[in-house]
Amino acid sequence: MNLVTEKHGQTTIIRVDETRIDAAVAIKFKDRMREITENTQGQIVLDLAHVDFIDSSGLGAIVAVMKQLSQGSSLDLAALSPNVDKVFRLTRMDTVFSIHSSAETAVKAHAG
Amino acid sequence: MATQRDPGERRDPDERSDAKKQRDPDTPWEPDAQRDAIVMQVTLDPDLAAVRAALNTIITHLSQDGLDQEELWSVEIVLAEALNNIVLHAYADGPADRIALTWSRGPRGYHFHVMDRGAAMPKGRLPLSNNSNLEHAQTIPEGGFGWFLIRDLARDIDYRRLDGENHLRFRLAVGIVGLAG
Repeated sequence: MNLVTEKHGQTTIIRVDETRIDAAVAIKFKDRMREITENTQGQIVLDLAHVDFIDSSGLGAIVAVMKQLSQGSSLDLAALSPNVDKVFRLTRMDTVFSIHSSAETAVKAHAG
Repeated sequence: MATQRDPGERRDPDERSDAKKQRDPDTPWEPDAQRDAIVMQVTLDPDLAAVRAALNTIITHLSQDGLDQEELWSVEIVLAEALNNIVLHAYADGPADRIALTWSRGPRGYHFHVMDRGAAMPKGRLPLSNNSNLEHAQTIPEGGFGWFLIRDLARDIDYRRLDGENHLRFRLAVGIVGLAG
């Protein structure tokens, strides 16, 4: 599970360098995300540009991470591929997260 | 994992045949099955890596059938949820047997049959879909999305517990040709 972190002022981009967030990696993903977000304040943007498949376990892991953020932190999503976007829409989780077309757009949104 | 093409009554003697003995070869399980339809079967060990590999095999196969990207995705997500559910729940505590996934193409789409010998569904029926409250962060569910996706995307969903086996059948309305007009 490869997660790459990039700081842009108050905003932290976490890029998922995996093509799948599925049941096989969901627990590892959740643990790694927890380690990173525990020590991160402010806006966090999860960049999913490389992810082309997510299942309910992966979705549950992202929700779990969001629910455990420290106060004053937020988790946005960016660059959802069509298949990832469909899972968020069908489960109505697209109403729970702010979703940006790209990580750069998300950084600009938080800067402005 | 083993994949085989199983036209009609032919049986490959080298294949593990336990799962097949349970099937009645004279009774097509699909409502609109054709007697001469090609029936495909994948058997896999109940672990998450084997599910990934099986999905890859099936999706590669179905892409050769001419399904488009959206159709392939709906097959992959529904099968992923059904198979992962068996690994994570049905076989969570007990001795791990195999999972047998069978499918065939019919006029109304693809018919799938998933068999396992793990624990029965709670209360002997399919879980209800998750419709929890999304208004407050702490009440947003972290699970239950799997059955929601299956119920949303699959049709004719049927679950039965028979002789210590779980049988889940469903249809995906993909790869339907000749719908014009």
